[in-house]
Amino acid sequence: MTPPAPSPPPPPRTMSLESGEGDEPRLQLRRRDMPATLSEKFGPNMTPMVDVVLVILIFFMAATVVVGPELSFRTAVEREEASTEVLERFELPPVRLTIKVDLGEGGRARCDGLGVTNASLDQAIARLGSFVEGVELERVVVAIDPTDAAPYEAIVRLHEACARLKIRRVGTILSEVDGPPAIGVE
Amino acid sequence: MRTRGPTIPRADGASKAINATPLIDVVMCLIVFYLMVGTLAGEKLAAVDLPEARIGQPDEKAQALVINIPLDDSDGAIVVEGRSVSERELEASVRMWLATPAEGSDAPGPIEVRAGRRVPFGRVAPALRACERAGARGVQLVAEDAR
Repeated sequence: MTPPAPSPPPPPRTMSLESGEGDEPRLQLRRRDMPATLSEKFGPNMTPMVDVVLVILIFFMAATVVVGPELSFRTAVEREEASTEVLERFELPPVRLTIKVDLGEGGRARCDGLGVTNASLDQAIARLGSFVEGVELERVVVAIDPTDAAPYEAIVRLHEACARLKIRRVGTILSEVDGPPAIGVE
Repeated sequence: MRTRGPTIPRADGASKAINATPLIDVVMCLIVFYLMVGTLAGEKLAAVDLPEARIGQPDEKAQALVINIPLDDSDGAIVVEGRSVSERELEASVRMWLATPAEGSDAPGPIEVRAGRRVPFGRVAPALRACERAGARGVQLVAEDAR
């Protein structure tokens, strides 16, 4: 009696996600060793470069000054000089409205002028609107006279009010230590 | 002799590695953009808490001399082109500015003053006085567009 022939060795078990013919999944594990991995790659390693480049990008994004849309108001700062022009007959001189601005209680602006004293900024703006009603706006000159303590925001708000009222001749009075004050009237 | 060509997707549809070239292209463009914008904006504009306004002229920063009076509690610095200047230096700068016509124009560009909303006028006045002494007839007071 002859001994039975040795059975062939079983095939290596591999697994893949795809199922085989039966219910048992097919095993197809790939070899993962460094030489095999390196053999698949070529060219420079981009990972450190991408890391650095992204860091630089974030730096510049953070360092950039973000500026939104801005508006501007023209204010005259030239020195007022005595006019030598002879007015035409029947020509009226400009209507000059001076608003003094100071720092009031609670850090708010306090306005004097236009027939009111200790008025809030809103009251002064409303008063300005009533003053220029029915007046030819080209003849209206608004001179803003702020003290050193007056908040800059109040001066801008007065310019904005003048722009809304379509008053074009607006200026800021600058006190000068030496010489006469510069007056902001265009 | 075999040479290495560009990566080609394998027959089974899977490429060997992620193609980083478009990513690097885009990122490099962004870097150049921020580099330029940051340089241009940083020189002219300082961080200023501007007052708000809803009506006014659109600003012309591209052709303007911008005077920044930045922080509410700083020691009276006037910043022009990213440099802190004294009143006399500012006057000289404005004088030079007024002597140079803007591009495509015979007149000089506008002078813009950017000051913080709570800055007292006493800190803005020296800048305006310097402009006035240099011969400027008017300046633009800048506000943030709140529309």
